[in-house]
Amino acid sequence: MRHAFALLALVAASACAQVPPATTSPVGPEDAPRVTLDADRTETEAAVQAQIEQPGVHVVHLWAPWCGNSRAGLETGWYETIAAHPDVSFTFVTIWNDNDDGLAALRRYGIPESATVLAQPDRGPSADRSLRRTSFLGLPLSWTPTTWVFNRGGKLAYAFNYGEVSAEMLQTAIEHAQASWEHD
Amino acid sequence: MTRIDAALRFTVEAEGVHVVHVWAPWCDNSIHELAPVWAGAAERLDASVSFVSIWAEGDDGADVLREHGVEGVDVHVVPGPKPEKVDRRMTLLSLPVSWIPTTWVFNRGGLLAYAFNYGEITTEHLDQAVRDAHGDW
Repeated sequence: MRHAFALLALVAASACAQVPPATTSPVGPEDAPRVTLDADRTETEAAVQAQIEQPGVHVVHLWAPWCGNSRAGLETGWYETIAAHPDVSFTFVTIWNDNDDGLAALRRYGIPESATVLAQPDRGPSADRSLRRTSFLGLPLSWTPTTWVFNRGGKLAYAFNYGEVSAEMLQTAIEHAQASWEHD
Repeated sequence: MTRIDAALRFTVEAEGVHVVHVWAPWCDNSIHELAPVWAGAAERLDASVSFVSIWAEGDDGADVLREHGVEGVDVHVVPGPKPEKVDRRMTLLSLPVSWIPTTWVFNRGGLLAYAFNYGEITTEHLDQAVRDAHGDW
């Protein structure tokens, strides 16, 4: 047991994850590259893909309950951000967490039932970083927590792949993803 | 891997934080953020700054950058014509480009830390992203 705690402490103290770059999936068939499915995708990825392809703006947050940065990030205003954007979907996906979706922890942080909660079927935390997931939806994944904002039928608008995204930065990203950005 | 990809990969894999900005000299959104965000960025930011012109008939946009006060940045161009909007899709550094301007911030030996793939970035958020990319969290 002492070794197990030591391993978890080592993992948590390692600021979660850093892995080699991953490649993205092939570009989509539409007017610009978008995230696309391939045979190696999991059911969780397929569910997220189906969500982000819907009209509107979608926030996907990849996290792990054992990760100190993930827990700190959940204390920075996610509840308020979700409440302020009923027209935006929020999907929380645990990674590297033994297939546990972390729902109980999310509820403790006030994440409401309107948010979708999923688990990527991964092994649990490991000090061996070579065992960690390096992509999700074909996009590079190198850190927990990671926050992505999608628009335009599944295109990645903003990615926060390092540290912890602030409530202000996420709020702006959502507003910018909803804007048309046309000049006179 | 294209020559541009190789050059950018060499840059972003170096120690430190690196900004890659994908734009086009004819793009209103790209032009709109040059003076307020990118003029002085090379001096202001603790990062290398690389501008990559795409879909611009081979124009690297250096004249437009000077006109708007953008100096001290590395300038690259991806050759090729300006495609119809429906055909504007490409990847750089294995990352999808779906909008110009697009701004990426790399750290940790070439890992993507932040991506601003839509709209126009603000000075505040660019500077914040570079600061955060330097953080040890």
